[in-house]
Amino acid sequence: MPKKGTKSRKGTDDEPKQEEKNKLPEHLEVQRTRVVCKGDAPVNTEGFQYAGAFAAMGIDNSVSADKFCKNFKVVVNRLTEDDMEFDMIGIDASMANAFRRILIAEVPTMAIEKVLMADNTSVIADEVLSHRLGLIPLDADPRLFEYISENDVPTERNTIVYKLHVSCKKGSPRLTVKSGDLEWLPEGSQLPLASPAQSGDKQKTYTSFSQSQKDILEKPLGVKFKDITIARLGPGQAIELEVHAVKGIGKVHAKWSPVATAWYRMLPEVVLREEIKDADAEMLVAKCPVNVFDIEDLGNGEKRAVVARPRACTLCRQCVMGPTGEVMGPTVEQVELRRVRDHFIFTIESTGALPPEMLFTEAVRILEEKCERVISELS
Amino acid sequence: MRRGLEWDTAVGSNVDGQICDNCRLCRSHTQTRATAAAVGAARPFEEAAMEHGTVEDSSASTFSIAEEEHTLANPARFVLNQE
Repeated sequence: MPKKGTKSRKGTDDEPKQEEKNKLPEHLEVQRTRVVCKGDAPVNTEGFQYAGAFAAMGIDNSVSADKFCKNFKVVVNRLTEDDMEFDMIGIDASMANAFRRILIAEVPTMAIEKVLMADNTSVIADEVLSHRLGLIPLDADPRLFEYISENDVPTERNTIVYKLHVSCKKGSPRLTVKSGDLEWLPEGSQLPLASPAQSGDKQKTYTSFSQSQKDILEKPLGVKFKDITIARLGPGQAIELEVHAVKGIGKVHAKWSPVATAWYRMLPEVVLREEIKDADAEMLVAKCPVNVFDIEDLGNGEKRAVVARPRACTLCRQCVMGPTGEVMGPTVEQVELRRVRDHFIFTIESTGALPPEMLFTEAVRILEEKCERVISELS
Repeated sequence: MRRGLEWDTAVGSNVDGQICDNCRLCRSHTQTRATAAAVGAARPFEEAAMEHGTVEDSSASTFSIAEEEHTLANPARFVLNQE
């Protein structure tokens, strides 16, 4: 590996003093750090990516690891079992989008991949039933399993086996088959392979479990939600099948995606350029469908509009457009909608295999692995 | 613009006998056809590669990164532009 040159670093004690001296003019600072959303179109959508931009004014526009470590922050706003919302401050849109793409398509989960049908007399065709089974979220930590390839033998390390055996007796009312009816088989497959066993030999099945999964795992493997309808059986109909779940990523099939969705938006910023009073203030408050603005009583019978909840802004732009949608209107020039270019409100909604905070750390680890692989290949 | 990755390797050619191990262009000067075929056989999957723009001027390079998408390329472009 060729030796990399060492960069000399400026003294850090000089930096804050210099930054104070060399402030950008306000309109340039807005252009550098904000996307402004006007009534007809957003402007300043492309940021200044050149490190030497503003160098003549003494501003350092470059990205360095030290600066990133100093400025980057994560603030968790909401965290439940299934979803979380957090702010990432001091990061570029390309990084936020990388995490979103990794979360949707490259974090692995377990999902049903093979369905062995012994009996299916329900009205649902085999392939449709198999598709529905594949989409059921499984309560299994994918980090405890290995990937399986076409040539691998299914073992307790790479496969989970479930059984579904439901029938509706004649004379009974119709029966709803739910995901809770899937029964985990920790010993492996119970379906024999076609060739009969030789005397004394163990019957060959579709898996080769050398030990029970109960001995390996701390908690039983099941489905995350027991009330998902799989099929409905009429009298005399039955479903008997065995399924094998394997590890995969959402890039191959969406059933392996670990998130119901993962999305981000930039932090909205609403600025009133002038005071908006009385009737205009009430009209502005009435315009906003998500109650960003509020009325502040000034005491002497006057009222004015204030920005109370800018985070709730969805940039529908009603406040910067007139009543019939034209760009001009009484309060149009007085309100400016912006978004902070490096402040991302990130939302992750998990399907249940892993909690959302663990999903994000897995995504960070996957991006790290990508970088390490590229660095090692280029060296 | 400074280079995103700094290579501390001399740029060479078959004329002065120095070899740049990282540059596919330099490698192609010295490898025989049989050697290249053997190397190709030993690498069934495409790997990341790098080529200098010219052997004289090392201020520009082309990188080929296999098996990746925008997930890695967009942050890499951003970081390199603002290095």
